[in-house]
Amino acid sequence: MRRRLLLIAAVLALVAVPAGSATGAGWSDTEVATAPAVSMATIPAVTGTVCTATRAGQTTVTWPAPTSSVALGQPIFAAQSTALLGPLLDTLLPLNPANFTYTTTGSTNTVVFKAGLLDGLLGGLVGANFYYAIQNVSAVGDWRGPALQLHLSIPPLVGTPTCVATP
Amino acid sequence: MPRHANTPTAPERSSKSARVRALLAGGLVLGIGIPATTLAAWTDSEYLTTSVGTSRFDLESRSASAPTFASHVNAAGALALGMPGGFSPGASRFAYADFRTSTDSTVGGTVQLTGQTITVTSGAAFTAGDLSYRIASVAATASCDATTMAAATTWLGSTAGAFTAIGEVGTTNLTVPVAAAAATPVRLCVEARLSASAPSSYQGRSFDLAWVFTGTSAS
Repeated sequence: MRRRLLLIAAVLALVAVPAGSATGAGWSDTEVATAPAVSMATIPAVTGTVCTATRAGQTTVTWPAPTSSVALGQPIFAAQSTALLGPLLDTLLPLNPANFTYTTTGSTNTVVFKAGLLDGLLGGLVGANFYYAIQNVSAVGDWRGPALQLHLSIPPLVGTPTCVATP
Repeated sequence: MPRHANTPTAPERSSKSARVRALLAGGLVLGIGIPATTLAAWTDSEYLTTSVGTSRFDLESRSASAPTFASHVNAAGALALGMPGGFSPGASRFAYADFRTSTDSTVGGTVQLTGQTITVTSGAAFTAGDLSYRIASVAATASCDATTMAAATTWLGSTAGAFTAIGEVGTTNLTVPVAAAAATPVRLCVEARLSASAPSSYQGRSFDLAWVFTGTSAS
């Protein structure tokens, strides 16, 4: 009988303690804060290009400076001859970043590059592409925008070169 | 005429009648005795009363986007924290939230970060740990930016300015105090950061970040 009473007392103590603890913990109230529609940056593509080329293979591309929520570095270029003899021409008169001149005036960016001399003389095709990347891209990984493709076609001996930009 | 066997004789009738009278007399004594005792004393009453009430604890918050203190008790009515501009690798975004009790709160208490969630609204989910955050308790009028965070000494949910992965809640420095009756608002500066090694495929994705703070009264 006594053990039964002790058991009942223990059960009552367990039931009673949580209620007391809850009272001791005080009132609670919740505040929810949210940052809605947070976004990742998007590196803009080069758009609105105007491309002109000469018989000598000098090509000038201009485009409006893009707007971006992040600081952009200079456009990154890559170009090569794409004619049948292209690889050979590139070997003789290689296109490399040093051949490009990049300038920016106000909101207009300009890049000038020169195809190989033999491209201008014998005709040829030059492909180039360039894109934007985040400033100090090497430090933050490979965040880059879509590349713009330029296709420069120089007819042999005579004729007007054409330059077409393809997003 | 023979006498009926059950018919009482005269002495028997007299004895029975005496017993009935005795019982009646006893009943009178018992019946009258109690009221007689009550009537023998004066009675008077005293009533005691006091006004007893409960304390009140109501947490409020505001931000730069929503500059008026109010309660924001659920996700549908959450306090808006503006984090404009896009995240890029290694970059942080900052927003502050001020906390206080309402003007009619009679007790102060503490504020604890109890939840953090991300809801991707455009694009695929992020790799765990690429997005992280930290929260500092700063001066009430401090701007919430990299400079303030660099000088911060009081952290909520972390130690020494360590970042916690989005979706998780830290387990140290759990609370900051708030006073009663709207006194001395507490400014919490939230910094969210994208890992410097985040891949380019994250570009253009959108998401919502939410933090849940629970206030607990001191009594």
